[in-house]
Amino acid sequence: MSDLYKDPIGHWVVVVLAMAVVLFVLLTATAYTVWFERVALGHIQRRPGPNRVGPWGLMQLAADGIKLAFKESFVPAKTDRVIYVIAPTIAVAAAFLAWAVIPIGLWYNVQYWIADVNVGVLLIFAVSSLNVYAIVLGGYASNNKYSLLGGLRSAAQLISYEMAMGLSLVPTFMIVGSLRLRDIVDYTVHWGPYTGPIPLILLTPIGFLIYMIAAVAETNRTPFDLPEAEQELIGGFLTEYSGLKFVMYYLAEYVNVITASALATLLFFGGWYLWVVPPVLAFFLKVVFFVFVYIWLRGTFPRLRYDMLMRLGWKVLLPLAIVNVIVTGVIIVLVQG
Amino acid sequence: MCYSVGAPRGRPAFPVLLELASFPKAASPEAFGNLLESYVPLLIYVLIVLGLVGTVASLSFVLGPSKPTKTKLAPYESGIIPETPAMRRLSVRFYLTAMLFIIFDVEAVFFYPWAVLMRQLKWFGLIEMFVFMGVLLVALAYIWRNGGFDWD
Repeated sequence: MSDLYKDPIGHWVVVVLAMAVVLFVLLTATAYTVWFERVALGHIQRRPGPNRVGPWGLMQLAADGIKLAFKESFVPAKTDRVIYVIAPTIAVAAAFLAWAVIPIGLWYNVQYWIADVNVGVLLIFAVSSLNVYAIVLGGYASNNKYSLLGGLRSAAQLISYEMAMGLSLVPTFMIVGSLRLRDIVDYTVHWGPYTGPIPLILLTPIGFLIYMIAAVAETNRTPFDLPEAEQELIGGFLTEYSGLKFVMYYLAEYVNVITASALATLLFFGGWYLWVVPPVLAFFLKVVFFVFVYIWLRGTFPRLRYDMLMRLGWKVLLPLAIVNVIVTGVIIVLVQG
Repeated sequence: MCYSVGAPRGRPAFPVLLELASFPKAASPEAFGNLLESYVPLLIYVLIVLGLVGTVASLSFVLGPSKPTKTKLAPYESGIIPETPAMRRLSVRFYLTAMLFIIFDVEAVFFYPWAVLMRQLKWFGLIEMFVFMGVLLVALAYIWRNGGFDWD
């Protein structure tokens, strides 16, 4: 392995293989996130959930995927054909690209990440903002009133919560002094006898709260799933999509859920550090926990009304995030002297 | 850097690209070179993802039957035949939200470099930022009082 790394061609072969593995794991994880959600929601609502295809319904998603791939996937009349096809690809590409800079762990001196960029978090924000384009363009190109309204609502919602999300992380960067995700996870404290990494939620609890709410809104999940409120908008921007193009939107939504959970893990819960648990396994367990929190929220809360959603974003989360930045700044400077 | 026979002579037009092409053999010790190196895997990953996504998008036309009919291609509006085009005049609220987003998000971006350097700037940086935030909060209060955040 080490000889392979020294050889320039072998080095790049390893890099490309690693990327293929990341994409494969991500696709599989997405499928099982959907399965996990359906089973968990089933138990929350006191019904069994999928349990027919394979043991415990584990092959349900493979069955659904194959069925959807072989469905007729047409472009409806009078649509903007090019944009209609490109919009779902933007959603998937943006969702996958965030994983280029997410560090999964450091285990026996092997680094489980693709790129270690010094502006990691900014890059994730940049590519996840592209999701707005996917939704608003999909809604616009569909030539359907419900799609258009769903797309516009979604755009307004996403940009409203993006600010609160961006500002909620500023205290974390102030404490750590870096935007590199690895530095944030490795942030070390010297508290009396204890020296080592800590979960940063202990230092910025308000930041975590704002991040979690904003992240649920950013991924269009219940209780913020206004863009696809089926009682009023049929399927929102998804109304005219079918077959593999529908799968792409669906895939992007669940990859975004996993990304948001991974970011919560890395930024607030110490990433791959968890007592004696091996690093990559610890990261996995924490991400699964946050994915479950998402599902739990979906099973518990009803959907918000649109004006309430906007009020929460602009009148509660945004001022709270700004105050959080001010207070954290004053405390850091006072403690540091 | 040496050139083989037949390569263009004189100064290379794009030294950075040449450096990248010869990576990792000629990895430069300069910080800038190292910075670029950390982005090379990212670039490869972008290409792989675009390839994958393009494949899935084209597969959607290859797999599955294709028997379009006039009714099937019509927009789905709960069984009612659409009389008017979907594009209509939109509520001005959406434009207002977009403008507010531009105002506050561009200012939020300024927080990032400041947050990274805050421990070095200390009180000076903090007070400078308070002035900046003051302007931001005055704007926020003004919009709030004039009902810019109310969605009716």
